[in-house]
Amino acid sequence: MRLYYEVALRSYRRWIAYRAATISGIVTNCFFGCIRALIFIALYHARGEIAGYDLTDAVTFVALGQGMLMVLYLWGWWEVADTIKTGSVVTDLSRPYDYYAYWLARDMGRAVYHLLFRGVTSFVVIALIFGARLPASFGQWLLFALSVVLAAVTSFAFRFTVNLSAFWLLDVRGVGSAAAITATLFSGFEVPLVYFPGWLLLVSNILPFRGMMQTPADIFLGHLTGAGALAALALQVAWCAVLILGGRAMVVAATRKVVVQGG
Amino acid sequence: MRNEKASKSMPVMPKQPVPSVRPSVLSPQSSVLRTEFSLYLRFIAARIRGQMQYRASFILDVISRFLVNGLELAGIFILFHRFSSLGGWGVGEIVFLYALVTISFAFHEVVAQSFEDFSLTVRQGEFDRILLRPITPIVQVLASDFQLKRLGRVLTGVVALILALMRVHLTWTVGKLLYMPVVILSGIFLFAAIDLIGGTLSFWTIERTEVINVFTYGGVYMSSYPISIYQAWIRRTFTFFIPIAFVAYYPGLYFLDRTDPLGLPRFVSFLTPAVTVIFCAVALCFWEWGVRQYQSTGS
Repeated sequence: MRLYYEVALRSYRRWIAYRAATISGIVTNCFFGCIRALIFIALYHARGEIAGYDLTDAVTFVALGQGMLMVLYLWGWWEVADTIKTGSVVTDLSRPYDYYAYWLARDMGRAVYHLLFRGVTSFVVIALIFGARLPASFGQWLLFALSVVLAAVTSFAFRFTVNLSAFWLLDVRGVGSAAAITATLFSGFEVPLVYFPGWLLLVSNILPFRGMMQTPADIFLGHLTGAGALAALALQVAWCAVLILGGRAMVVAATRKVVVQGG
Repeated sequence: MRNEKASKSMPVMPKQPVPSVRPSVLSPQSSVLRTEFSLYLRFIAARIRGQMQYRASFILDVISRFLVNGLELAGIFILFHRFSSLGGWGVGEIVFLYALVTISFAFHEVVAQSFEDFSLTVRQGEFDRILLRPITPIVQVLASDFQLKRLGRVLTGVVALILALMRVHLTWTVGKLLYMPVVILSGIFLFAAIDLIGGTLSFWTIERTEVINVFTYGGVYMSSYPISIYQAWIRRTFTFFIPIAFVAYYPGLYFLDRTDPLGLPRFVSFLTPAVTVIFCAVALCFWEWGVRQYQSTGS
């Protein structure tokens, strides 16, 4: 356990080193957040509640989305696929640690960095400009925090699986973009899932992506409370388990297949 | 210029008028311009030939780009399925604005993306090599990254345009038909000029100037909606400072026969080419100045 903590800490420190990138990232996140919020303000003009969300809900969702964007890191993460391409995955696999846990720890270190430095800042800035609805009780904050952790793990497990496909595919980018598009759409990042037409909502309900954005947001906004919130968290846990077990099975299958070409 | 200084420091050289090896793009020497342009065409012809060698990978790339950008378009349709209109604008009209800005931006990505990654060129010392060749640097940089696969995004724009025209029944006039290509061409140049400014900044910053993304990608995102919904400082920034509002919204008012809710006079719709020319001139001057100030990283 100590090893994985150290791995996560190293990864966190590696990210923290790029201060200029952090600042320009925050500026970009906030700008996009402002545009999205202003679009919702215009859309909600002279309208009350749409699909159960009022304007404050929508704007808070935007702020949360800009905050979660980098925590989930859905686009352009190819670190594992690249090691498979270059062959350095062989060294990684033969090291005396759990391959899956190592990468999970690395990604969690990164997620903590993005949560603290990009996520919280972006959320606070957008919330201060446009106003936001905050959780009313400590319990709600706690459930939200749990949900965010599960969202980060789900996102990692999903991206890791996509990366591992590089063991079988020559070019993983095509699958990767398809995966990122699906995840962005069905998590609620592009448009909150509540606005989806019925049939698309049904599709989103049977996919794991809802747990990455819509579930934490609904807990934060108080649309999921009590038993409903616990059921949603349980579903998140279930998806994490499925994706992690699937990913580990893929690692096992791949290690059987890998042939090391002697140098 | 640097080469003139160098010749002064060497007294052995006979004193004769040294022809400018590296002509400025701004100097209107038509024969030079013509040679440079034909060279540029030959460069990109070679690039296209190279990129078409991997036909399957090219097609997959185009499709994947088409889909990635289609996500945003799908988002607009999903939102309007619930909200039906935005300040009197229907989904067709919003998608029309989206199409205009996307087509311009996507064509700019095909021809002028190289300036987005220009900081890498500077950091690796590649720009020193560019300065040594007897071709205008800007032509070399432009020709260095001509990517046909980015046509995937153009495809998204064209599909959006078709979907928009199926919903808003535009009353076409000769004027509109003639002005539309002008607007799209202006948009391409405007985005290229923004990238050129961002690229020039990397002479000093070395680091990739990510904040410029706010103006390019952020500008594109913002332009799909009527500018009138934004706050004054955003409207002013994208009208007077980085004039992206002239890519879709202002000309869009003319195409869609709408008036600006903030009471802008009608002629503003027709300022797009003029604004583009001015902005490009400013960007080119900045670039030329930057090239003169340039000091190699030495590595």
